[in-house]
Amino acid sequence: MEWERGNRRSQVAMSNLLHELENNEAILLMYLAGELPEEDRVEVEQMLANDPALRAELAELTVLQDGVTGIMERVDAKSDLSRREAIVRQVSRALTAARLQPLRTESAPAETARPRLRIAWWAYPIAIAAALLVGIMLLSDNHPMNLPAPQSNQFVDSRDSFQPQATAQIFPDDLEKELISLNSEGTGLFGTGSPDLDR
Amino acid sequence: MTLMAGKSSVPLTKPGPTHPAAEGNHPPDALLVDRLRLGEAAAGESLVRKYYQPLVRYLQRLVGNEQLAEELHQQTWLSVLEHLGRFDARNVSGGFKAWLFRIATNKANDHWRSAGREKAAKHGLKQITDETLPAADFRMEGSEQEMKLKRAIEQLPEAQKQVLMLRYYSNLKFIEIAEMIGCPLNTALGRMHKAMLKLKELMAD
Repeated sequence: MEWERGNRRSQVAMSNLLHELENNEAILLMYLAGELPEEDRVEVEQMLANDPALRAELAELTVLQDGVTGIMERVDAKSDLSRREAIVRQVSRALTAARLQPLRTESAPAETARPRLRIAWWAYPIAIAAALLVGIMLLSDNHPMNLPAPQSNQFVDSRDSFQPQATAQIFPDDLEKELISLNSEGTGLFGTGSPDLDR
Repeated sequence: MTLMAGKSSVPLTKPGPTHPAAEGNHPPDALLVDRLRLGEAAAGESLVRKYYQPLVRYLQRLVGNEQLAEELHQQTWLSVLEHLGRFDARNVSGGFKAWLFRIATNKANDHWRSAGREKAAKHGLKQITDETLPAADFRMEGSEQEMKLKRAIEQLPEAQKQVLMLRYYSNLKFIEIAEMIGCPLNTALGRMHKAMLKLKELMAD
């Protein structure tokens, strides 16, 4: 005989849990497990008292549950966990090692720590200003390191002729003239017998 | 007319001193967990010892292999230690025990996902046959009943097996089990009922 929720609802106020259980098996399993709230348990017992079919269903479920429990117990009793102590010790060692590892990382010895360079806060703007000053000096026209820009902006094709260009006064005047004259004759700096370097 | 009491004469959860429910010889979980958080190795060993039998048995029943169950058991505890800082018993229905078994269940599920078990099941392959018994170094438990139970459990659908084994070995309430595996209470109860029917039928063959 199916559980008649409508009748039950009209007779007894249902708790939320009992209302949520969808069928007799669910209700009876919870009842057998002792996990129904007190008011629900009382309600179920009232219905059991009035419903022989429901009582038969409960008896079947009890036999089923006892049978499964008995099977599991008998099999587990024969099966020996002889490695219990070894496994417990092994896992405990693993836990200890895992637990210690972060502690070793956190407490690194002091002598291996690199000394940190401490720079005062006021040094940073001074350093920036000094860098800017050096940069301005380098870009300034009056700086002795700056070379005068070439006078001619025309592209000179080196294949046509060598045009001596104004350069800085690096060599003495007489040596410079000699170098220029040598290049004009096309002898190159290596003389007329210069090897064919392109061979 | 005699009404049955609110509990079966033999509850599906295991009684006796080997069950975690028998906490007479162990400090409460909350105390051990706090001490473990502080780095006390002995507290960790106490927890491992307390839950060793039900946890290893549970994993054995889930994965059907003793060596693998031991590996997953160790992985479970390492994962417990890794996440212990975030564990709050107030937020977990069933407390530390439920959390522990949830981690173990996830480890078993991860193993099966990586092993492609689900794919094999979908193709209707028999998951364990005589030809596919574990490797030779697997220590045979020996008894015929043990092997028969193992084969019977292996034939249960994974979801049903999980609920049945969880209920039996962890002694968690049905509502805690449902929360742990992420299904409605009715679903968990339905799986439990079907699993019991199927298991009894298979063992009777």
